[in-house]
Amino acid sequence: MKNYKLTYFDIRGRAEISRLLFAAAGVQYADDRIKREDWPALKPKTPQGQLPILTIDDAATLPQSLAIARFLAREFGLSGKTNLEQAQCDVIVQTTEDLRAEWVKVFREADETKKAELQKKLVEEIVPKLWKIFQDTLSSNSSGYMVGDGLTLGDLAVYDVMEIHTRDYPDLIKNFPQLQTHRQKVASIPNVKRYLENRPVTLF
Amino acid sequence: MPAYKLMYFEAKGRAEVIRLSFAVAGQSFEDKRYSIEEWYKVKQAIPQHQLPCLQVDGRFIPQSGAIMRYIAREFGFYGDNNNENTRVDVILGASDDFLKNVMSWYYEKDETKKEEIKKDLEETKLPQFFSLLESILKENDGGDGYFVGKKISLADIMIYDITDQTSSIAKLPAFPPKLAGLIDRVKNNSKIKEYLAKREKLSQ
Repeated sequence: MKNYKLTYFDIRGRAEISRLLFAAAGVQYADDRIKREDWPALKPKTPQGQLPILTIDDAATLPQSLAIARFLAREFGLSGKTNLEQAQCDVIVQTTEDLRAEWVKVFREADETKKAELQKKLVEEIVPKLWKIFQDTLSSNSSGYMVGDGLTLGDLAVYDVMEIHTRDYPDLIKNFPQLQTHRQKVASIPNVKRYLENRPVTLF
Repeated sequence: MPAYKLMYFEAKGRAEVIRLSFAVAGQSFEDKRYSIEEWYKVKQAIPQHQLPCLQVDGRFIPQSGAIMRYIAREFGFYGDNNNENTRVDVILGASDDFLKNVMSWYYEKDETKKEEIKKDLEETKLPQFFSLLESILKENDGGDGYFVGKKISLADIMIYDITDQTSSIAKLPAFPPKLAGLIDRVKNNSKIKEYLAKREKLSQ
C-alpha cells in the first residue's frame, strides 16, 4: 500500500483532477494544501519549481499535474483498457488542457478592458466549442461514460474542467443536456459524491 | 496491420515528433500534408477541426499529445511500466511548459515585444530548460544513456525535436554535457538518422 501526499495551493486548479482520481478509486492520501506565503520557501525544494507535486512513500516526488493524473489513473485502473481507450482518454485530457489554457489567459490578463473582451470570447465561443467536443465524445460512446464502458480519467477531467463555468454561467449547460446528465452521473458515484460534499469550497 | 494516416500542414510544427516516432517504430504511414486551401475543404470533417490528426483503422485521433502517446505505446517506447510511463510524461509536461514560451514568440505581432520574447528565450528560458533537462537526464544511468529506461523513448524524441525546432527561431545556448550526449545519441539512432537524411533531402 503506497503512501501518497498531494501538495498544491488551497484551490482546485491543476490538482483537482488528481483529488477526484483518489476519491473515485477510494484511495487515501494526504491532501496537502499550502498557504501562498509558504510557497517561496518550498519552491526550490520541488523538482521543477511548480505545484502540484505528488510525494510517494516519502521518497519519490513527481511534478507535472498531467503526469501525476495519468500515473494515478493507470495505478487505479482508470486510464482505459486498450491503447485506443487510453488514447481516447488522452484526447479528452489534452482538450481539457486547451480549455484550461484559455481560462488562464483571461485570468492573467492585467488590462481590464482586454480581460472583459477575452472573458466574453471565452464564454460565448470557446467554452461552447469545447463543451460540444465533450458532448460529441459522450454521444459517440454508448455507455454514458466518455470512454469505454466505465469511469475513466476522461470523465473526471471533463467534470473538473467544466466546474467553473457551470457554476458561474448556470444557463450555459442547458444547451448541453447530455453533459448535464454526465455531470450528475459522475457526481452521484458514492465515493465521488462523498468527496464533493466534504471538500473545501474555493473560487477556482 | 492497420493503415496509419497522419494529417498536418506542410511543416514540422506539432506533427514532427509523431513523424519521428513512426520512424523509430519502423512503421510506414501516409504523411498527408495539407495546403491551406485543401485544409479549409476538409476541416469540418476532422474532429476538433485542428491538426495534427491521426487516422487509424477508420478512427480519428486528434490532439498531438494523444497521437504521440498512442504510437509510443503501440510500438513500445513509452516506458515499460507505470513509473517509466510517468517519467516520459514528466518530460513531455516540462516540454509543453517550455513550448508555451516559443508559442508566445510565434503569436506576438508587435515586433518590439517579439524581440523581447526572443531575448528572454535565449537568455533565460532556454538555459533554464536545458539545466532542468540535464538534471532529469542525470537521474537515469548518470545521464549517459536515455531519459527513460535503457532505450530510446518518446521523451528523447520530443527533446530532440523541440531543440531542433527552437533552434530555427532562437540561438540555442550550448547543451550541458549529458544533454549534448543525448541529442547526439538520438540523431545517430539508425532509424532517426535515416529519416533525418530523407528530410534534409526533401528540404533542398
